[in-house]
Amino acid sequence: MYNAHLSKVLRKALMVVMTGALLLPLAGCYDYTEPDERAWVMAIGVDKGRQNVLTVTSVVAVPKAIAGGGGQSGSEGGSGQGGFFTITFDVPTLLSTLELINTVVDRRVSLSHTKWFVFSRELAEEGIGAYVAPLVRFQQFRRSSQLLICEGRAEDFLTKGVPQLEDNVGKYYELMQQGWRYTEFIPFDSFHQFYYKSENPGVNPVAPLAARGAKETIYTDNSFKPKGYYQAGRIPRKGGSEIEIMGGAVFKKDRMVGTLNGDQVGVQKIFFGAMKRTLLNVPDPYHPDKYIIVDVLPRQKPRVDINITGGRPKITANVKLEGQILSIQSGENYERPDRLYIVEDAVQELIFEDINDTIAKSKQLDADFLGFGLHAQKLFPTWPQWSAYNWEEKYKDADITVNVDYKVRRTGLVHEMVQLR
Amino acid sequence: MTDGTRRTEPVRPVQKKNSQRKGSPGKEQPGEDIIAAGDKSAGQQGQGGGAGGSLKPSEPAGEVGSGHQRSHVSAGRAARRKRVRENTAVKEKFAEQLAANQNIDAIIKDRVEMFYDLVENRKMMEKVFRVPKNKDTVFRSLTIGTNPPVKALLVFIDGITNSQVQNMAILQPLMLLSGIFDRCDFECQMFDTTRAGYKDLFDRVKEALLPNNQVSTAHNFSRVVEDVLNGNTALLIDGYNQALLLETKGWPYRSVSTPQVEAVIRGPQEAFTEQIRVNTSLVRKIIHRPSLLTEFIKVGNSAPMQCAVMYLDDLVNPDLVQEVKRRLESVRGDFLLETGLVEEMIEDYPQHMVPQVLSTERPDRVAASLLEGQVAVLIDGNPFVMVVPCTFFTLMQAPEDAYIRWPIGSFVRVIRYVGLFLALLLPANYVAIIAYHQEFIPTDLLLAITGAREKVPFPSIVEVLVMEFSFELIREAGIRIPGTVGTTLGIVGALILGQAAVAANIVSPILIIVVAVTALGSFAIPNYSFSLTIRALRFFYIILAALAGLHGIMVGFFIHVGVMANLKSFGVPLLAPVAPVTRKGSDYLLRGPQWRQETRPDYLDPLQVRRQSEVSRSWRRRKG
Repeated sequence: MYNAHLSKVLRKALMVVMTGALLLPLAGCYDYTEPDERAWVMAIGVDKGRQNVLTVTSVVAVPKAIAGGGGQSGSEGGSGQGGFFTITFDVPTLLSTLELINTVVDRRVSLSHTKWFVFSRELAEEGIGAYVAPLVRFQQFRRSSQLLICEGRAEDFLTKGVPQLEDNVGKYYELMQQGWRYTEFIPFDSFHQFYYKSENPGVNPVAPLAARGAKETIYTDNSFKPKGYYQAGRIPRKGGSEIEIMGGAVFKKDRMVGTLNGDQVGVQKIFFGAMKRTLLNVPDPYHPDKYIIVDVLPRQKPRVDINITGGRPKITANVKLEGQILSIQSGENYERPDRLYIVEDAVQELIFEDINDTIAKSKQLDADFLGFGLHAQKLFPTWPQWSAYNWEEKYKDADITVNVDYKVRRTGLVHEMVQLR
Repeated sequence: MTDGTRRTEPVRPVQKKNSQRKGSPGKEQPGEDIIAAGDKSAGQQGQGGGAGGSLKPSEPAGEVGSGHQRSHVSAGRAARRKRVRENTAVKEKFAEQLAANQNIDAIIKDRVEMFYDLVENRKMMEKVFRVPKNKDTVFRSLTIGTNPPVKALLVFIDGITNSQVQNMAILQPLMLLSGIFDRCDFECQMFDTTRAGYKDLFDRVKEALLPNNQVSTAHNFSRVVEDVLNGNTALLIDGYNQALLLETKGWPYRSVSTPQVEAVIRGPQEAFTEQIRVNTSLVRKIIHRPSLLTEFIKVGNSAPMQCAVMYLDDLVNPDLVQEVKRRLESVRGDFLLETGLVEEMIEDYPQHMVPQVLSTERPDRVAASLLEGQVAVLIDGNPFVMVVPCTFFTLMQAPEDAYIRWPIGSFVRVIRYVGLFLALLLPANYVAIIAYHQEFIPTDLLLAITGAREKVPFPSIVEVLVMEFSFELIREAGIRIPGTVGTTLGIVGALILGQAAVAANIVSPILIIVVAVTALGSFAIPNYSFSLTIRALRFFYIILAALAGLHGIMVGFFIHVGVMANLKSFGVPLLAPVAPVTRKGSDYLLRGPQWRQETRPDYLDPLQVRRQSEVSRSWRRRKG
C-alpha cells in the first residue's frame, strides 16, 4: 500500500519537476553573464560629431584597478585615479556606441551602472530631445542617473575628469552629483526629474552645469562678489581635479536657453524645497565692508499663491527661512534679542534680492524654472483646460510678489563678545 | 514488507507453487502454521486450559483480505520482485530450525496459557529462551519456606536485572522469612492466614512475601517473556498456572546531563536520557498535575519499543490524543529505535522535506508544549522526545526565547528568521545577482566583486557549488570525525574555506563571506532536522537561480511556501496560525510579554483555551 502510494507520489513529483524544467527555459533567461565578462560604462559624453553626427565618449571602469585582482590582498586597490579609460566613437545615434564599443572592448558593455550623461553646451543649445528620449525607453538605462551640461567638449571633460580622492570613478560621479544636498550651487534634478519637467508645460528643467576648470584669470578686480556669483567654468581656483560642477543650465523643452549662477540655482532649489542649507555673507548694515555670516535653512516649504484674474497670473510667494549666526565680523552685539531684527532684516533683504534677481532671469529667459506653473495648474480642473491656458505664454506677464521671512534661531556659541583689541 | 507478499498471494495463482514450497516452513502462511503449533502445544499440555483454542489465525488472514482489496497490479509486481529475492535455498537447508522458530513464535503470538506443572512451565520457558544455548537467561530454582515448602522457579535475564533487589526483596523473603506467619499461627491470631483472606499460597506469596514495589500476575507465556525481556523477574510456583512478575529492572544507563543539541544560557540545564522512565519523570517533575497522563504503546515488530504518550488530560483535545495513539498503534514497522524512525512512520507527509514533528531533548520544552495542549511521544532508549503537532513557527523557536527578557526574545527570533532567510536564499541570491541582475548592487560592490573575480577561472555558479559542497563536506566530516583527530579538521576546513582557496584563485573572496554567512544562518535555526532541510533546499535554490535568476528564485519560493502551506502535522496546518489565519497569541512570530500569554494556541483546540487570567499580575491595581 505504502509502496504504491509512494511511487504514485514520486511519479507525480517527477512530473511536476519535469514540467517545471520544461517551463523554466520558456521564461527565457539566457543572459547568464559573469560580472567579469561585462564592461561597466560609468558615464557617457555626447558632443557634436566630427566624422559623423555625434561624438560619443564612454567612460569604462577598470575593476581590477579599482578593487585589486583576486588572490592578492584586497587593499592594494587603485591609485586614486578613478580606474577608468575613455573611448570615443563618432556615431550616427547615441546607442550605436553600445554595439560599436565591442569592436574595441572585449567585455560586453552594459549601461546599467551609468551615472552621468554629459551633453556639451553646443549640442544642448541645439536641443537634446532626440538623444534623451531613446534613453528613457531603453531598459539598461536607469533614470536615477544624472544629466549634465558641460562647457566645451564632453569628450575632454570626461577624459580629463580624473578624480583625486576616489579609486572608483563611478563613486566620484555619484558623490559629485550628491553635492546638491549640502551646497546650494548644484541643481538636484536627476535624469527622471529632468525628463518629467521637460515634458510638463508648467515647469522648465535645470540641469547641472559642469566645465573643466578655467586656466586663465577670469576676474580682473578683487571687489566683493557673492560666492554664488560663480558658475562652472568661471570659478577662480587652483588645484583639485580638473572638472567642476556649479550653476545650472536652463532648458525650455529640450533646448538649453541659458545658464544660472550658483545663487540662482539656490533660489530655484528653495522653490522646490530642495535647498537644505546654505551659508550667506550678509553685508553688515552698520559697518560697510564687514559681513555677518549666517546659515540659512528652510523653515517651511515656500507657499505660492496664484490668482488668475483677467488672464494675467498674479503670483504671491512667501518664503520662510531660519538659521543661526555663524560669525559677526564687526563684533557688534547683534545677538541681543532686541537687536536681532537688524540681522534678520539684512538677511531678508539679501535673499529678497537674490530671489528677485532669479525671477528677473527667468522672465528674461522666458522659462519658468521656478515651477510657479506647478502651483498654477492646481487651479485647472482638467488637463486639457490647463494645456489650453498656455502657461508658457502667460508667465511673461505674470505679476510676482515675493515675501521673505527669516528668523535667527540661534546666535552661535558666543554672546555679546568683547571686541578684539 | 511482508504485507505486500501476503496481499498478493490470492491474486496470483501462478505463484502458488512457489509460495507453497516456501510456505511450509516460511512465514508466508502464518495462519496454518500457527494452528499446527497450537495443536502441538495443546497436546503437550494435557490439562488443556483452552490455550490452543484461543489462537487467532483469523487476525492476519483478515489483514490479508483487506490488503488484497486495496492492491493493484503495480504493487503485485513489486511484491513479486521481493519474493524472488527471498532465499529459498537457505530456507530449505534450515527448514528444521525455521519450524522450531515458528513454533516458539506461535507460543508468544497465541498467548499460550501457562501450565500447572512447574516442570512443564520450565520446559516451555527454556524452549522460548533457547536455553541452554542462551547463557543470559537464568533459571533459579528455589523452595519457598512456607509450611509445607513449595518448589518455585525464578526466571530472569542476567545483566538487565538488579541483583541487589533480587537478593533482598525476592530470594531472602521467599527462602528465609516466608515461614514467619506459619510460626505465628499458634501464638497470635493476628497473623492468621485465613483471616487475612489469602485465597491460596500464590496469593499469599504475592500479598505477604514479596516486598517488591511492583508485582503483577501473568497467565500466559507471552506476558512472562515480555516482562522478563524488560528486566523483570518471573516467579513461577509449582501447582499454579500463573506467574508473578516482579519489578527488578536494572541496567546501566546514562545519567541526566546537560542538553547537547539545544543548549541554553538561561534556563534548566538538564536533558532527556535514554531511559524512558527517567524521561517521563523529568516531565512529571515539572508538571505536578494529576491530569498528566502517561500511556504506553509498543511499537515495532522485530524488537518492540516501549513508547510513551504523555499529555494533560484536562487540556489536550481528545481527538488529538486519539489520533496519536491510533497512528502509533497501527505502525507495523520492523525496528523503530529512534524518534526519527517513528517520526517517519507517524507523520503525515514523510516524502516532504519539512519535519512535521518537533523533536526536542529538553524536558522544559516538552512540559511547556504539554501545557499548551500538545502531545509528547517518548521512545525508550532515546533522549529525544517528539512533540506533536508542530508548526513552522515552533520549529523556529528556542526555549530560551521565553527565558530571557521578552523584547530581547523577540529580537533573537527576528535574528533567527534573518538567519533562516540567509541560509536558504543567500547563495542563490548571490548567484542570481552576479549572473543576471548586476544592476541590483551598488557600483562599488559590483566593481569589487568583478575585480575579485578577475582571476577566477570558473563561472560563479560552479564557484558557489564548489564552496557550498566543500562546506557541507566539512560539516559532515566534523560530525563523523573521531574526537582524537578532531582538531585537524578545523585546520583543514579553515584552509579549504579560507585563504588557500582564494589565494589559489579558485574562488573569489566575497564568496567566502557568502558561504560563511550562509553557514551561520543555518546554525541559527534551532531545530536540527529543520536546519538540515534548509541546508538541502538551498541547493535547489542555487540551481534555480543559475537557470533563471531572481525569477527562478521567486518561482521556487512560491512553490516552496505553497507546498508548506499545504502540509499538516496531525491535522494542524504547518503554517498555522498564519495560513490559515486563526486567532493569534502574542507568541508565534515574535515573543510577547509573559503577562500577555493569555490563551493557548487556537489551532490546537484545547479543552481550556484561557491559560491565565486577564489580570495576571494581580499585584498591580489595574490592568496588566
